[in-house]
Amino acid sequence: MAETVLYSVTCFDAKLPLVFRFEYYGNQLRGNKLTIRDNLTNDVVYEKEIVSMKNEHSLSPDGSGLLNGRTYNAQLYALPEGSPDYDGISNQIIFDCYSTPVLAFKGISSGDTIRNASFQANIEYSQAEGILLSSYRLLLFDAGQQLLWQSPTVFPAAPSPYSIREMIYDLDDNKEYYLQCVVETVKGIGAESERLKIRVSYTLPEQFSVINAENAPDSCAVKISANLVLVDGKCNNPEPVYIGGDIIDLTNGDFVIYDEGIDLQGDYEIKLTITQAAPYKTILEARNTRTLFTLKLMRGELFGTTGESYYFVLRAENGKSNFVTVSQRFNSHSPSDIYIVVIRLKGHQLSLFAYKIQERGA
Amino acid sequence: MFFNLLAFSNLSLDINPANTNTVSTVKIENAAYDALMIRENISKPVSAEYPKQWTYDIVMFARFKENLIAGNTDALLSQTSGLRIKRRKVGEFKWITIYENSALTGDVSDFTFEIFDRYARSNVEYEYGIAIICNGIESATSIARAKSVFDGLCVMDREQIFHTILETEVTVQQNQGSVYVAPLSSKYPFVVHNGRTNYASGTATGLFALPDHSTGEYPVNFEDTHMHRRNLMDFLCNGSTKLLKYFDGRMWLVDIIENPSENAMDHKNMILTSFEWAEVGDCEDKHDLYGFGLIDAKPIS
Repeated sequence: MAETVLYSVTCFDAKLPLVFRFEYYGNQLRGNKLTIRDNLTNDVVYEKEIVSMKNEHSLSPDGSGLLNGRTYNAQLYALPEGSPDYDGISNQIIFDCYSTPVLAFKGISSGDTIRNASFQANIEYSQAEGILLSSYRLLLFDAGQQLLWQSPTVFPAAPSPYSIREMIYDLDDNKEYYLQCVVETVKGIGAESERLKIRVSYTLPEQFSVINAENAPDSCAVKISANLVLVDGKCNNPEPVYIGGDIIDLTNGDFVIYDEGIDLQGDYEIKLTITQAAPYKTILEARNTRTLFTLKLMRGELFGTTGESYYFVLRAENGKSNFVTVSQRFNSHSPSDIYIVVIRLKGHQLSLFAYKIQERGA
Repeated sequence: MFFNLLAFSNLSLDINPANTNTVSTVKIENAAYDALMIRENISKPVSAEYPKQWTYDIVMFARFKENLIAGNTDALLSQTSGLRIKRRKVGEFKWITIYENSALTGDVSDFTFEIFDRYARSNVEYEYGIAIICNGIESATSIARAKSVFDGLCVMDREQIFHTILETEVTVQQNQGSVYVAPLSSKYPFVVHNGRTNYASGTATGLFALPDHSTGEYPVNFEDTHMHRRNLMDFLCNGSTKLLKYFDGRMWLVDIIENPSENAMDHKNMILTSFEWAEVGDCEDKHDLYGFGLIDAKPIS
């Protein structure tokens, strides 16, 4: 009589199919019979002979008669080729049937948007027979469902029903992710939640790119620095006049000088938004130890045109002579007009651009 | 007629202005100012738009909101309760926090700093992010990139670094803790894997001398470098966990084992320092870096 060894099964969900596997140390098999009994009463719950050359017996959830929450034992009879009878009986295995745990994300639905770079996932664990949770992990996938990150396996100490809480950090703005929770019960049944689709979109009132990184080969390191900029202006009037709380009125003889924290050494762009500009008067002056250039709003009746035109003039002092460049002209002007003026230095070439806008945008 | 020439053809008596690229003072007057911005990056086309956020190239940006401040200090100080500097390889997801300040004093100095990420591999491009913490919640991260490249060999901890590009060599052995048993009845042995041990060990060698920082070159005469080597020996034998980095990108979190040695090469003044090492953790793992005291920021995930 050849030996038959039925591999152990610790625990499974009776509503799911299962394959019992075994070893048979004899001739080629032509079939096998599996008998499952209730472990308390020893009543036969399932008994079926199948024709198969494989060393396995598939259990369909429909006809198994097994119920979750019960304990069963099973034995297998091998039916070898050329033999009318079963060749012995296998070892007896004992197993439990429990329902698959249910995992549900709380407070968020698939497709919801997270307004921050971090997110606390809250998952409710429940199991019909009250089996305790042994461990859980959280998995984070990218939009293509490729695994990005997984949390360490956590073995909670809290009593059932469990509420799994795990913080997820470093979510990128304007990205889509999938979040999944994987658990295992103390009885060995595993379960996976759905892959919850989340979108991340966060905004801040202001975002400051205050970081700069550069290679530092002498230190075998990367130097990281913050570019916090300290620039504060000085007004000749100790109590400058502000219009509407965010426009400074310098039409009354006041002026503001920025001379700390500015040290331009190459190309640059100066952009200003102004209104109530006084024609022919200097609006902006750039200096180092001497005056470099001035900006003025000019008015004139130009050759080949009718009526007055308005334009900005940038005049750079070149010793005995000057460099002068002008912006495009505007056919009308009123004190309430708003202009955005851009002065650019590239190489040694100064250029000037001006736009008249309807509403303030800065 | 002369006026028209100036106004319409963009010409002037001089074709170019003389030296207007060194500006240190800007004075504004005779208008009502809504905004004034200076930036150094002019690669983008000219437009009437202002940047929606503060970028690194901005020198000043005054918005005249009841003040004359043109830097980024006011809003930073008002919004931030802490900050973190984080690092990750380009293309990866998880960050390692390499610097954290959660006890801000509310002073500008909180945000003005320069730090060195010594735990970057060579030949790897990293992203560095500064994360602003508002009410305990980390908000958006702004990012700068840098590729870490250096030559030679270096061994370091958070306080000291010893680097050389001369006569460097690193030998590596991967240890997996297996033994084999040769049975009498079989042609082949059984291999037994005892435990999960899987770590690197090896030997590192280099000619350690102080470079001339003015020229970047190493002195021809090595006679005066014995104090530098003495400091290196003290460092190697101080018992702390170190980071060993090689120019090709390899890097290990190591402890120095056995006895470091010095041996003269072809000349009595050209002395090579050798030491044996064993890997004691994952140099990419923030928990290991924190556990061995190489970073301050306690991992939060």
